[in-house]
Amino acid sequence: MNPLNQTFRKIEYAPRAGLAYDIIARIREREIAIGKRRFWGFSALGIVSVGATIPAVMLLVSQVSQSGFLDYVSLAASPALKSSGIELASTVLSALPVTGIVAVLGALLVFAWSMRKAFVLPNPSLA
Amino acid sequence: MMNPLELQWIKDSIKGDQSAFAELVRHYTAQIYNFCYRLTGNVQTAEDATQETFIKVWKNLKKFDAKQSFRAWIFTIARNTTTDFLRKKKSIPFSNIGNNTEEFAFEDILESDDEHIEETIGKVQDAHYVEKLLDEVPPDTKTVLTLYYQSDMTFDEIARVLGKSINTVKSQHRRALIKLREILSDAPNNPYQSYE
Repeated sequence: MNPLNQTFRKIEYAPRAGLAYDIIARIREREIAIGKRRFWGFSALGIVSVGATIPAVMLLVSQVSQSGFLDYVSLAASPALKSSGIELASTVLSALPVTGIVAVLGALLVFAWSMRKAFVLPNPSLA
Repeated sequence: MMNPLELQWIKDSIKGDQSAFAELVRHYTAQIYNFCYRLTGNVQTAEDATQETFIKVWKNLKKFDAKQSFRAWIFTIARNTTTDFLRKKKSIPFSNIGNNTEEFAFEDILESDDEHIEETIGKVQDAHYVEKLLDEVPPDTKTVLTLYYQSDMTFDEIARVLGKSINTVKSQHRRALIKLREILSDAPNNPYQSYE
């Protein structure tokens, strides 16, 4: 070792005992605080999305009954219409209650995503 | 080249391993504290700056490029954090932290013999006397010396930490050694005169 390294080591200012421990403890406190905020925040979002699912399902049911979608689907099984399969398929698709489906799927996806986020341990890099 | 153990701690910390990050903290606390204290001269400020440094490291670890020197990266954060603390306190004992307006005589660079000077100064055993010697050099030069001899940094790392060119850092280092040797040889009643 360079003699000056040894000389300079003699004049190093050492921290008090326990500083490293305090730093680690403080970072852990922050992790826990972040974890709690994430949990409550995403749980609230999850509850909202569950709440949104109810009107979305009602919308879907209403749209299904109004569009005649189920009637077209039952016709698909009819032997008389098997020869015009492509036309029937396009008719069925056009009768799909798209808005209702999107609303229900969207609400369920938001719920699943928010529950996943709420229960994942915080990554230090996401602080 | 980064220490492989250190690299593993960093990778594990990014994945969320708290014990790996704790190892990084334990490994660097003394060095970062010493550096912060040298810049601030105050125990509480140095502790606060050290703590804040590690919090910033924890928040930004994912952005760290493993091809760089982690040591230079963490010391850069420490330096910037300490500067912020001192600005908030509106007391910057080292008014030119990171700024160097000294001009270096080219002859100093040509004529100095680093190893010989290091050996001469290295014979000084009295820690108190070494501290007094260091007070004779400008603050930012003192920082270069402490990073080089206490934290075992390369000139390239020191240049990155202090935001200076590598040539400036080398010149400051050499100039400081020359100054210290002059002090040792010129000081009255210098008990170490025999080392000249």
